[in-house]
Amino acid sequence: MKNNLRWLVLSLMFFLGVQPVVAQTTQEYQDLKKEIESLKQGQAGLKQDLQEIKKLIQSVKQAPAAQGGGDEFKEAIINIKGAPIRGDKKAKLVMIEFTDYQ
Amino acid sequence: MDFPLDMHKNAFKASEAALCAGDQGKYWEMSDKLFNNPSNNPTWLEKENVLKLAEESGLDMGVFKACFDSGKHADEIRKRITEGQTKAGISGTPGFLLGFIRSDGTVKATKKIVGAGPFINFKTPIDEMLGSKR
Repeated sequence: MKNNLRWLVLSLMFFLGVQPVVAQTTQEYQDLKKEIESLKQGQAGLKQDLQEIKKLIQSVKQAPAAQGGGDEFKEAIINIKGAPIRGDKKAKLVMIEFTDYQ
Repeated sequence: MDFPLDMHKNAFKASEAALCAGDQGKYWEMSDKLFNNPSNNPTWLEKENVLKLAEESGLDMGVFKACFDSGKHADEIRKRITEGQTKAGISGTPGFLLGFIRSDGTVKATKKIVGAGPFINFKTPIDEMLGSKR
C-alpha cells in the first residue's frame, strides 16, 4: 500500500512537475533558436553595411588621384571669349569657374 | 563657364537657358534663378519652370524660346566642356582655374581648385599668384 502511494506521488510529480519543465525547455529552446537566427541576420546586415562603408572610403581615397590632383596641374590656355563674366573687365587675374545646374 | 555634367539630367538645357538669357544681357539674373531652388523642387530645371524663370527675368520670351528650342548655344557649351576636360582635366563641378589674362583674350591658367571648398582653398592660391606677379 505504501509502495503504491509512493508510485502515485512519483507519477503525479512526473506529470505535474517534470512534464511542464520539459515543455518549458522546448519552448525556451525554440525562442533561443529564433533569437540566434535574428542575431545572425542582424550581423549579416552589419557586415553588409561595413562593406559599403569600406567601399565608400576606398572611393574617397582614390578620388584625388582620379581628379588628377590639384598639385599635378601645370598650366592651360583657356579661351574665355564669349563666356559670361563678373567683376572688373580689366582685371589681370582671372578665376574661371566650371559649373552646372542640378 | 557652363560645364553641364551628363549625370545631371536637365543641366545642359539649363546652361543653354542661361546663355540664351545672356543674349539679352541677363545671364547672371537667369543663372541665379536657375541655381536658387530653395525647396529642392525636382522639377526646377524642367522646361516649364525654366520658361517661368525666363519670364521673371524680364526676357523677350519670343527671342528666348527661339534660342532655347533651337539649341543655339549647344555647340559653344560642348566646346567649353571639351576644353575644360582636355586642357585642364576638369572632371567635376564646381572646378576652378586661376590665371592671368593674355593680350589675345585667352587666360593662361596655372592653378586649379577642385570642388566648393572653404575660403582658404581660394585665398591661398590667389595670394600666391598676386605675389608672383609683383
